[in-house]
Amino acid sequence: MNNLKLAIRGVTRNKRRTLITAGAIALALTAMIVMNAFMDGSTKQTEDKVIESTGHVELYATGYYDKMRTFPTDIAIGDLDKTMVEIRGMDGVTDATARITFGGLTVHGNDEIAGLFMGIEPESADRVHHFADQVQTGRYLTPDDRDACNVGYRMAELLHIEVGDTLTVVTQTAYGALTAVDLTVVGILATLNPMIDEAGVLLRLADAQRHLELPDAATSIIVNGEDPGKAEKLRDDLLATLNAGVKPEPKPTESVAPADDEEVPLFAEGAPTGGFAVPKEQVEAPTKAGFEGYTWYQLNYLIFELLDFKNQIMDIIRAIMVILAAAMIVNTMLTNVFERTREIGVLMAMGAKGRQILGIFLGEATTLGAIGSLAGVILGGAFGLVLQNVGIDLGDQFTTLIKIPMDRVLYALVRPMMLINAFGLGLFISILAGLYPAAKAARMQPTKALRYN
Amino acid sequence: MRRLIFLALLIAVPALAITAEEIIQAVDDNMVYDTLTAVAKMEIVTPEGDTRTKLMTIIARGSDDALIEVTYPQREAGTRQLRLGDELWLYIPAEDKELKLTGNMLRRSMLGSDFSYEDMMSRHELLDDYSAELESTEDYRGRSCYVILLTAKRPDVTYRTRKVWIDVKLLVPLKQELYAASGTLLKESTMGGIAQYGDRWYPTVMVMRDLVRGSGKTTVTMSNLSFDVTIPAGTFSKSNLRG
Amino acid sequence: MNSLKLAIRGVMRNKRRSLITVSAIAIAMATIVVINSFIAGTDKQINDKAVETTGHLQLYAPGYYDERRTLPTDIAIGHLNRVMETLRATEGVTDVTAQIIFGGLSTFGGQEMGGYFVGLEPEAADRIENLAGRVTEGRYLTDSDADCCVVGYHMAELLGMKLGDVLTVVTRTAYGALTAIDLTIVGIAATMNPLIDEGGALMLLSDAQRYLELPDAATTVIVNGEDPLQSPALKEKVLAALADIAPPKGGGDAAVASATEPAAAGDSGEPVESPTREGFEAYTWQELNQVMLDMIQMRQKMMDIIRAIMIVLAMAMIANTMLTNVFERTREIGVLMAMGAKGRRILTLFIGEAAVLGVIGSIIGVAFGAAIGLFLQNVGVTIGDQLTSVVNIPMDNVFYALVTPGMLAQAFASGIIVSVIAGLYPAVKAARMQPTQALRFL
Repeated sequence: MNNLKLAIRGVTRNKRRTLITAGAIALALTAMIVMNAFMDGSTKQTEDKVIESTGHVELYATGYYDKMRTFPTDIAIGDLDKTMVEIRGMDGVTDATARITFGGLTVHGNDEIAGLFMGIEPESADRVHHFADQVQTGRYLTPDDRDACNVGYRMAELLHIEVGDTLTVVTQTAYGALTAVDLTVVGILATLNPMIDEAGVLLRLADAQRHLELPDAATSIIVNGEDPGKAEKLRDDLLATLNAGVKPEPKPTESVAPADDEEVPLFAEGAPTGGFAVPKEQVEAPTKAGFEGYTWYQLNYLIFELLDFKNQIMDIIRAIMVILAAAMIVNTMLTNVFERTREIGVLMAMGAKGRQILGIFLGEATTLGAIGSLAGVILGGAFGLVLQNVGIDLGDQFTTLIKIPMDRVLYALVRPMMLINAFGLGLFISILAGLYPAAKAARMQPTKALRYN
Repeated sequence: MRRLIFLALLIAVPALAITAEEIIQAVDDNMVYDTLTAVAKMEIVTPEGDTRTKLMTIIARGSDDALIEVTYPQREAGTRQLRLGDELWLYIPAEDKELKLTGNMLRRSMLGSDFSYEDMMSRHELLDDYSAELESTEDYRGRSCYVILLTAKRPDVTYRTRKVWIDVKLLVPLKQELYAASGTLLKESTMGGIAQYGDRWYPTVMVMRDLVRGSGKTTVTMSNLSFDVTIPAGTFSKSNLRG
Repeated sequence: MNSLKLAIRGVMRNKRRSLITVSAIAIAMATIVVINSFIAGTDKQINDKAVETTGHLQLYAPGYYDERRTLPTDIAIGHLNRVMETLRATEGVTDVTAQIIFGGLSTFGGQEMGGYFVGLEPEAADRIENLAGRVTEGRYLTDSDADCCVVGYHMAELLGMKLGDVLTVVTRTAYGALTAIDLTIVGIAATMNPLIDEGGALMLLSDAQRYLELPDAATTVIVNGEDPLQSPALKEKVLAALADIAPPKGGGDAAVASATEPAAAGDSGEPVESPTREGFEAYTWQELNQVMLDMIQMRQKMMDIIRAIMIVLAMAMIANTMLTNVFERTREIGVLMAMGAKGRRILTLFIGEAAVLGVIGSIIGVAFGAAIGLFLQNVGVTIGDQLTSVVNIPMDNVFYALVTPGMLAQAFASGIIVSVIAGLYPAVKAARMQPTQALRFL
């Protein structure tokens, strides 16, 4: 207690010196905190954006994932309504939305371009992906919009599409029959998900089901839980529940196909006139039993490899920052003590022992460290929070460059743990920095000290 | 009639060499009709080994116009394909939609078979697009055949060269190979089920293999063929697309 | 001179204090140099990559640029040899190479993928685009490699291709006839151009000309000059030189191509439209890489933020040190004044000391920072190798720093300036002190 009192008195005695020292510590920490807030914000934003486009967990019919590249519609989830009710009723599920993804050609006037089509449930898809906030022109789909669509803004640019135009989508049904669908464009989206922006057309799930002959079916179900960090558990729970009691589908009886080397007879016996009997063919249903599921992390692992690199760079920057901040603190502390050599001499002349000197200066270092660190954390935290609300604009062309969905405005993120760590670091370095000169001071010869200038 | 004269020439003047063009011309004459109606069964074996069967009715006029309507399976029944000279139109009943096939769409396979829509647009009169050369005479499935090499006269013809095996007696093509400009064999078709209709002999079965696509094949079998019957006016017109 | 001597003496007198001050300045400057060198290095790399991917200048037949996304082969440059000769003779041109770029299907093992193919002149293309160094397995193409190819690494992975396998490319000739090209794989490359890595292959220009029926023609001619920054000027020169190439004789019907065709127009009536066109359009690498250049801008913004924060901190550190330095010597100032020194002398003395400290600190700091920067310039920072599946632009996966004399000079100067300015305020205050006040200061 005595020491504390002495420390405080020492600190308050030369206010200017205290201000300079504590101020330096505060400044160092503020800079470090703001920097960290930015990097944390950037990382979180990317993660959020990725999670937003895929949802926490995606479910498919068994075998879909391996063929995903071609967007098959004949490996689909059946009994959709029943399945959705079951999923929505499960513990830990906050939202679920079904979707049919298919490929085809978008034709507008004389222009045609390959497109990626998604039949979505407008309301639940919006809750998961926030599409409604991403409308650039026109409006988002509603559940009543029969045969309407939203298109990505880059596709709209390429094909000169405007709200109100009609698009023809040429594709094939889940049974392989060519079909063409006319859709009215009610809105143009800028989702910052390049897959949608460059080639995406969104339509109602109900419409996709009708046109592709997939009643009560979907190609994927996206499920969100409370915490994206628990996606693995969510996936496992979902699969356990949904796959319980699923029996493998019996293979349809093989139709009698002419053997490959069975040659067609060269001559017919007279001109054929019988016509053809209607075959008893069994076509394999596009819906399959059984589910497979993937977390957002699994679906995006390539992106996260890239982010790992980004994080490595950020770690390097953080390290440099810490060195810089530490240098600042050490510098200040050293100066602080060394400049008071005469003062130390006086104290010794008045009878203070080495150990006491050490104690006093260490105490002062601690106090200064505490004050400076606290000030730094408050200042840095405040700054960071401001930047958390007001972001930095990164410009337009950003999204076409990178296949990772990212926002154009960068926001900071202040994490309480980060602030606590900063405080600890500041205090620790201050004490450490004050230790060396304090030790030196304690071992000084009083007469030498007094003569110091 | 033409064919009789041709055969007569052959017998009467054995030393007279027959040119490839004359053979092809004779084949064209044999195969061409004013009109043709038929029903057809198309059996598709996909590269994965699945089988699909389609039934359809065919009405054709010359080598320019054709109307094909799918009657089976149920989900595709009513789909109509109308070729008017250089244009190909589709009617999709499930969507009540008329669609003109252009560009990339023409390259798609027709009904999932080894035929592309583009293939359906080709002309019967081969000599318009190709020059012919008689390579040899060889036996194919026990029949003596002229083997004729056809080379495209213009660089924009889809299949740069074709090889055709033509039955010497009946002037019916038995086998055809379609080659890419680079010389790679792209498609192969064989004919069978040859029947006599009056003066002419006509193959009622065709098997087509798209070798780039893989190991599948498509077999088209025709029945109830009628040649040169009167077809109601307006059959081959856009307004008849929906039927 | 006198002042300088005094300043140095003042600095040397309290070695410890000076040492602390100098080290603060040095650390600050070193940090700034390292950050700057890293940013400069990355920017240069992206820039260089942009130039490397496209060459300084690209020439097309008129109308090609607008259709380039569909990879047309019927909007081509004809009389290619004559064009190349003319270009090589043009002043300011250091390298010229022609390419045919086309789309089609890559088929292998029963699977197919949409593909992007480039027929190129191996040596010239390597000089301009640095392709040989990107081969990860097997080897790069040579002029005698007819019917061979180098495939993109990711497609090779996805389709299970190995060296010696045959890739079949199904496409159309420039006239629209179907054709299939069998190419033996001699190499697998990670070109860092996603179009190739994800589904494409490189082959000889002569092969592409032969199979696509574009004799003496190409879709693209790449021209390099001495300095990429002079590309707009190069563009003018090149277009002027090419304007002198006369169109072919008998040129009434421009539709008939100048080179031999596989079949005459014959008796089928309409003339065949030639895939080659007269005239040229040219684009500089800046125009072609607009999107990538915007990325540099964007990244700069982010790094600017980080750099600004560090600079503020560094400068604050210097200021803090200077402040303390001067304030702690208040008594000393008092003594000097008592001995008759005028305010101005005091001021000059302290500024002089600040300058000397600044110089020493900056030299050490800049040298130290340069050393680290040069280390990073040779040993880069590696990132993952699946880069091309997540990034839409060509990008290398090893990042290097870049140290330039200009950067060092600038850092050095700012170090001194900040030291002096930082020392100014307290020096001024000191100069205006009352001697008695100063003497009593503790």
